[in-house]
Amino acid sequence: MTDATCDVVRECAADFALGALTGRERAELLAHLDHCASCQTLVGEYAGVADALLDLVPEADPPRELGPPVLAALRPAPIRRWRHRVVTLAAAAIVAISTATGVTWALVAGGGSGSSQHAALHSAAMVGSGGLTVGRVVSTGDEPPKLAVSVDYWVADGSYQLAALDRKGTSVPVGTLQVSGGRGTWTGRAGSVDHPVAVALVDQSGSVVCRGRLA
Amino acid sequence: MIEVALMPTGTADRHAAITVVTDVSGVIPPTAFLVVLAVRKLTDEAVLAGFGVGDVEAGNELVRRFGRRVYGVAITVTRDARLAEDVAQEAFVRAWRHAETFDPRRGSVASWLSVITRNFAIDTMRAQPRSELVDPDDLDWLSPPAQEPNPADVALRASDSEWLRGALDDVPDEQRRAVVLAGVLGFTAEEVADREGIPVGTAKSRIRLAMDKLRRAHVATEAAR
Repeated sequence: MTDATCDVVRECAADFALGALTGRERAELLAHLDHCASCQTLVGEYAGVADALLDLVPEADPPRELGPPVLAALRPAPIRRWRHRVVTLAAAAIVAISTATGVTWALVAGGGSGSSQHAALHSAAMVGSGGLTVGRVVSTGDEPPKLAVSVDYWVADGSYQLAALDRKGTSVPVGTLQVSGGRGTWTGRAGSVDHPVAVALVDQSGSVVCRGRLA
Repeated sequence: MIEVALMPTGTADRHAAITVVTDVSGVIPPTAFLVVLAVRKLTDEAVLAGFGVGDVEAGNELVRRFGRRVYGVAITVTRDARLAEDVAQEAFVRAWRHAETFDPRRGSVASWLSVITRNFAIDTMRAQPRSELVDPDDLDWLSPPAQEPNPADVALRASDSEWLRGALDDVPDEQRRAVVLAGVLGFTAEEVADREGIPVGTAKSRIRLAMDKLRRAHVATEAAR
């Protein structure tokens, strides 16, 4: 695959933002954006316009409630099944943890989560220096689990690597969490770690900023 | 300092929070140190993250916040109430599947949902004859609405999009039609050319010229903030 030039990107950036490029053109442009900050900025500006065009579209009342059919559509999926079981068996409650600078939320199952490992839903505080609670991590019970990590207090703005730790203490990068304005969220799978015992937020120097213990 | 929070069961919208200040040994001091912080609204990003891990309450809350917006985009593109309802539902299901890909640096949850909805609506309409699509000359939403049911929404959305309305006013009609056809209704340059009775190259030029004018207005607006 060839890499587009800045001239080509300038010519195609608007089409890219509107989703009007072919797959090949899009791939070539993306390859160029990987290493060209000025073109990234230009494409970002066009993307802002494309998004804003949709902001002009008027809202409208759907003829029927959208919520029930949307939630019903989730039921066949594994996550929805264990969620249903948790709700049935454990009367799951939502606990939200608020700080002065933001809000984190978590799902916490009550007692008696059933015998299936898929019924397990783990939630833990993300704890920073001095035992300070700076956010929350929620883990689903499947393998590898889906993780929802949020921080909303104390952590400085910037880009952090999220790592999942297995029982042997091996650390595996699973994603990048961006903290902006004191807050950041990330959701995704725990990579190759089927049973993470902890999730850690690691800064650019490799230091662990905060950690949530799941087991 | 540690945080303790309370929240009414089954409510993903508002909650009261209490901060408890401890000394270095973790002992909770007299109750005078208990500080009720605020009743706050969960962020859209937090609601989406909860929905992404399959939480029903978060799903209900996301639909409550963005259902009208998502349906609005769906009905604008499809012009068919039944089809728009299906598109809106599927858009939320796709949002659930792909919640982990949402990146707040690239835009708001509202914009992300709108793009998902538009793209799926366009995919759905690909099988439909283009003549069934709305005439962009009839897109009265390009002008500020005379009346809106929710003043809070109006204020919020006006501040977000007012620059664009102003910028579109400065774009020649033929370019404005082209960029709306491409940007909102998903027309390709060839389809714009067909509809307008112009060469494909002219259609591309109109789209790009309009996008460039809007981009410059967008940059100027951001710089002024």
